[in-house]
Amino acid sequence: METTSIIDFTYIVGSFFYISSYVKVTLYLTFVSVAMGALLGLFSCVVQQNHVPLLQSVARLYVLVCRSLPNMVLLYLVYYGLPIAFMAMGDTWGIHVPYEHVPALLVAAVGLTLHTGAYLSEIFRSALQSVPAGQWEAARALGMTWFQMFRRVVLPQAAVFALPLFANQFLSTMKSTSICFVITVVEIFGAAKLFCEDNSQYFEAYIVAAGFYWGMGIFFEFVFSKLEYTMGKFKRGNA
Amino acid sequence: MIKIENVKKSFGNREVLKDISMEIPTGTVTVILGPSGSGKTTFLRTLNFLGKADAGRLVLNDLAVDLHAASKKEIIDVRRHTAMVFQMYNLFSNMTALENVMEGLVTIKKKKKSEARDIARAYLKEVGMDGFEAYYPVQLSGGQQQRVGIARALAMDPQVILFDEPTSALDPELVGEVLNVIRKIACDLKVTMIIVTHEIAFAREIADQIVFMERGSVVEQGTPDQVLAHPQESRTRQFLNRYLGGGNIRAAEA
Repeated sequence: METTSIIDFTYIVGSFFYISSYVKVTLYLTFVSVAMGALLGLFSCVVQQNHVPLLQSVARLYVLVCRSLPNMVLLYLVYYGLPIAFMAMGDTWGIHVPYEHVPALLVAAVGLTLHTGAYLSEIFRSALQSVPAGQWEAARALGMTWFQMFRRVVLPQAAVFALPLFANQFLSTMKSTSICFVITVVEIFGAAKLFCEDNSQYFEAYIVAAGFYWGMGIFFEFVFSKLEYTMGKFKRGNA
Repeated sequence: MIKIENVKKSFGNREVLKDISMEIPTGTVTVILGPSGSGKTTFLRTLNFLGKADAGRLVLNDLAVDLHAASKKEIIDVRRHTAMVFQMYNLFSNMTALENVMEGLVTIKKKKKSEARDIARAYLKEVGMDGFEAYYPVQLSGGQQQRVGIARALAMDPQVILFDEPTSALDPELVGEVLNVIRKIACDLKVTMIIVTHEIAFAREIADQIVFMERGSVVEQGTPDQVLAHPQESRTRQFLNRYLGGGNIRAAEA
């Protein structure tokens, strides 16, 4: 009787090459959703902080809704809701969007952005609140505009507070991209699943998929810790 | 000349500033004394709109504004012609000492960085903080931070500097270095200053005018000799007795 090894290395190699061509999809989704989510989150937190009428209520509602929805449910809502919204836009304002052909990748990016933005909004809010009132006052007393205060004084300090939490959210979003396969986006996890179905070698494919997530995770953690060190220089001092 | 007219402010039902007026000639030092809770700091903060008065008028040489109804532009204008030194220093913690002093010059006065750096260096030297340019606030003692705070205020070339209890948060042994700097700039640079403080001996020495406040009103105002050595009001006398431990101003200095 022939001995069979637990792990078949030919499938490891095979799935590695198959999955590696989809890494860029995971990275693309991660970067786009975190970048857009950061803008959305910053906007949402700033309008709340400054008590902008109407917008602050919209922002609060957004955070409330999107934080309490499972990521996958949100994704489905966008997947089925976006074409309907586009259709309504066409009917109401006569703006025609080819809703029959909304690419799944776009839907995935929108879904993840909404999710990430809601979390980042709260992270940014706590970061802004971590900056002592005296810092705002000193900037105000100099005669700075709101934007100058924010840009020159508050943001650099809040960013250092937010960075570890932001890194957390970045990694969380990166891992969440794996659910986009449910709306037909093929990324690392989707590719592993497809590979399994063609070859019936499950463990090997998922080990490789895990390896990719692991590698990216460690890499980004390293980048963020470097960034934190550099940006937090004023907390340690120099000379 | 700076004129402050009829400043009023309430927190809810509590009237904290009851119709306060004063005049401050250019190049003079006005010290505001008074027990805690008398509204000194609140008053000072209404002058640059860190707090909003319910009524009042500020005339800053040729700039006159309503302290209650000023527009955003007027508020920024007043702030750009005044400077404040805070009790808790409030140096920008993400900037070095030099950058703290440069900040207003670059961001507000739109000076070139090289020029701002030269000016900032000169003012750090003025307050005896040369050699500390590259230090972040976290690396400096309270007294050092406050001296940088004074340099930051001076660098803006303001028409008046508002000092909000500049030595109250300092360890006793650090108070002297800050008072020396204030004394020096009052003599050398002839900057117009309004100082809220509890340092009575210092007030007597440096002030051209002393304003004694209690419960939101000006009780007595005049030269240090009038207010401190020959107070007319019993409330002023009580306050001075309490602060000087039953002695008089001469005993406190000795």
